[in-house]
Amino acid sequence: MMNKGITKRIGSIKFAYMSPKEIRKLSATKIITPDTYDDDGFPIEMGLMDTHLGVIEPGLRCKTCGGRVDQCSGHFGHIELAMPVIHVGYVKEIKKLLRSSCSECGRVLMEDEERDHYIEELEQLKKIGGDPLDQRALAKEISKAARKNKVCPHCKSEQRKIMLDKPTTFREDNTKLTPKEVRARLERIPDKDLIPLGLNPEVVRPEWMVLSVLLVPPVTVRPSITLESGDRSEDDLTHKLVDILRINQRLRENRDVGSPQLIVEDLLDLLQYHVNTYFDNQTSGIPPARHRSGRTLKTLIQRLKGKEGRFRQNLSGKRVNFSSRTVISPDPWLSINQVGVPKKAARELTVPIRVTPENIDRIKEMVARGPNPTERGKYLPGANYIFRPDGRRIRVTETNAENVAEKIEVGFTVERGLKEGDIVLFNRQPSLHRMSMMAHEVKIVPGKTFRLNLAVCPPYNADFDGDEMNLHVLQSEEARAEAKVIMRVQENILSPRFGGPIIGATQDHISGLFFLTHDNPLFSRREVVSIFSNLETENFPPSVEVEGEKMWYGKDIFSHFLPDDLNLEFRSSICETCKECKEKECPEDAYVSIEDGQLKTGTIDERGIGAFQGEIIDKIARDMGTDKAREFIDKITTISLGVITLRGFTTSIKDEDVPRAAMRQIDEVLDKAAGKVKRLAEEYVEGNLEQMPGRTVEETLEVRAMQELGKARDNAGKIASKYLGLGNNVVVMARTGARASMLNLSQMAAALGQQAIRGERPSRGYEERTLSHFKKGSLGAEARGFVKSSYKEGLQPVEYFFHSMAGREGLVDTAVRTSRSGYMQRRLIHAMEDLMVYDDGSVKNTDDTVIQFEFGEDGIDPMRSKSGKAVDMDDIVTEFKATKRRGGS
Amino acid sequence: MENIYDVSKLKWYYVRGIKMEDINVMKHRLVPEHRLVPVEKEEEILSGLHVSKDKLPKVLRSDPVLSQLEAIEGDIKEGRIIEIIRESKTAGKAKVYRLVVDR
Repeated sequence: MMNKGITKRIGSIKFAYMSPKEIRKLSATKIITPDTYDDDGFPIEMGLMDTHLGVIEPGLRCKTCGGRVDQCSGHFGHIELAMPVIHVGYVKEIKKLLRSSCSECGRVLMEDEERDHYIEELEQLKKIGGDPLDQRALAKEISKAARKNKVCPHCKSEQRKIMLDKPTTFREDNTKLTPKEVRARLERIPDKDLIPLGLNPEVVRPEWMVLSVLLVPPVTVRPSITLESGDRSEDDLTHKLVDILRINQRLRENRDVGSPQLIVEDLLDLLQYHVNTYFDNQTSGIPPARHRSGRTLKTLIQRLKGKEGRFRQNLSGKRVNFSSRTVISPDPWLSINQVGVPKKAARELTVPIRVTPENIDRIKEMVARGPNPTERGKYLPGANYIFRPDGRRIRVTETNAENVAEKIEVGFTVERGLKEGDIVLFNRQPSLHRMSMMAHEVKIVPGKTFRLNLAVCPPYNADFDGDEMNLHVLQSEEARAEAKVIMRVQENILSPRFGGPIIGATQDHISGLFFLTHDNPLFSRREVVSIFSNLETENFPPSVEVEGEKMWYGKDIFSHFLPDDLNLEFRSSICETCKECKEKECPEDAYVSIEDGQLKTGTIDERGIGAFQGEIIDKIARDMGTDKAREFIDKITTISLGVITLRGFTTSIKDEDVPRAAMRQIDEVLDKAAGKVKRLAEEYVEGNLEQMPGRTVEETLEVRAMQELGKARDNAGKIASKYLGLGNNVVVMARTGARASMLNLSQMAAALGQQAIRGERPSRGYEERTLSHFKKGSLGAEARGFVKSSYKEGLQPVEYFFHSMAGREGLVDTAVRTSRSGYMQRRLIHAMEDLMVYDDGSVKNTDDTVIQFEFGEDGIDPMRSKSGKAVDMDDIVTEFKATKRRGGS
Repeated sequence: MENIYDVSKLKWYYVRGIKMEDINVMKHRLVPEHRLVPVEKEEEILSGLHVSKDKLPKVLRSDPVLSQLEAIEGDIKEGRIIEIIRESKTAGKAKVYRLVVDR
């Protein structure tokens, strides 16, 4: 199982430092001049663009290997530094070594026996398979132990404290250690003493951490760009290397003529700075090196690090062909399985077709039509390219189409444009779960946007306020087959996230079905025809005779689309959870009962067909297969839109009208609550407020006030909603779960209520008060952000201010939350990406270590569970009742 | 070993002044049932799980639960298997195995 198909396996990777000897051996040329090109524009010998380092201009040949631009990948060069310089990447390691070795004799600061003991311990750890991280931790412990000895046990010299001044200056009791001294000390450490410090002396010597030779990357790594004006613009790395060379030369000159110590030291520091920023231009403690324009330079570390670095951008991230991206828009006449692709995109995106004896005639005909064929103005797929077996590619144009078609033979490949029914992948970022990328069937549409059915918005979390989505065309038969079987939208109706449907009706679909089914209204022939007119072909449901006219019941219309053997009972979203449920006799028509595919009682709303909660969709998808579920969703959403178009659906300020008496009642409730808070505040000031357990007196006041005012807002809302019934469109939306909530409504009609900042009443601003409108120290409701007005009445200036504070906090919170949760997700994915569930139900990682013995401990596939439960008892009871009703046993 | 403090009844207690050895962690309401798997049964369990011993999750020999188990079972060597029966939200009771390791 383990070695299947693996021919070569990486046994181990060894990391070591580069020695100066190695660098010189690797180098193609020594670099001494900071100049790059001469007046004629040719690279200067021993300059940074020396052709020994490879070539970037066409026509030139590399002087090392003789290769041309795309044949030679470049060669390294080197700079001899006038004086050694510390490598920023190794300062921590250098500090560790300096501190745990003797400054005089270079021995590790411990007795030989102790050292040997530690060496053995490390050896032991390696033998029992401790990973390099464990080894490093042990080495760190050892060096810490060595550091404790203040006197060298070998030469008895006293050890002074070594400090590191960020980023690269070492101090020993306030005297600066030059890199040269550091290097000399590291040289003194004997090979055997390196082992307990975590270095392998066979490959590494610590003095290599202090640079005396600097490796210069090939020009291909830092190409210069020629601007249109003819000017040359050099890469950031080249700029940095020029700086290093300049200072290096000055340092050498000054040192050789015997300039004052101070000047040499300054130049050395400058050289150190340039070398530091050459490696990492973001080390703390030093200002980043800048370009002439003020832009910070992107040096070696910056090239690799972070989201835009080489790893995440170029190695983990890939760009693909055969894909496109545009704005999305809704199209209720599409099936959930389809995606509308604009003609322009369909012509550009292609599918490769192998020419076989069976299809050669058809393909010739298609190619002969050229790249943009139409039939009476309608789209027809055309061919863009044909590929011969020898790999040659021919572009099909309007003019050569017929010629090219003649030449087609079996074994050629033709890239044709999309046609209806092609399987493509459709995706919206952020791709947070697997339903963020699903397979759709192509439908060619006019316009320039991708279109999708509204029922697939929830899994993509898409809306149409400017969202864009990506589309990928599958290129192989296997990929298409696999996508169709496991990625198609209808296969993803049930979500593995919570064991229920994630695809289903939203917003107007829900309101529409409410009007179709609530209290079972009657529809005339004209109306039913209008509702049904959006479906392809459909029989009519059974009708009833009312006053000599044929009429149809809403529930019968709905039942018409239910599978015949469907039995289901549940409570609607409009259910008010009465103390005693009258079930089928519910006065609100909120108890849904479906018997053998007939909706007997109840209103269809979010709990019936909504995404996330739809019981009917759940049951159909689970018991009758995904084909039936797709058909049901397609039809029922179309019907629903028919109903809501027929009836009309709108809202206005009138929907928030509440009778005067009620308004007075609301005011009373709010005033009473404000009065109560005032009294609480008084009690607090007098010191009579009874403290709650575990709280300070201040907290007690706040908690009680929040409670009181929260209750007041709820009560005000309740009074308002007494006068707002299901005849009100906003109430319909809120109760059915189509959009908004009763809280939103009561904030519009009754009162906004308490505004909160960080979960508390606003308390800061001016001295001892929130705003200058209040007395100092006032703790009453109004002074601490309680809004008595409703949105309809309009807010008082002071109230508006508090509302804005809370509103701004909400805005900031969402911004912070998304970025933070995104990072958390990234970390989780990283931790779990290579776990796998095996066919015996166990979860293992890549080295076959068991993470879970049974997936989720119960081995239940959450997608096939009912909201996480393995068994759906309610369903079993309903099915049992149904069998009994049919007279079975 | 005698247990002075019955942890199963304690909700809050001060750690100061109580020695770790005096507490039977196995009686704590958050510590699931642990059992030592007899050597004879190890083979059966491992083949049932389709794994080799080294691929099991580990438990340290220094784990407080193990010192309690040792009081009952005697010395537990590295390489033995512990069976843990956990209360599970999804499955009611879940059996999990861990390999005893040193360090």
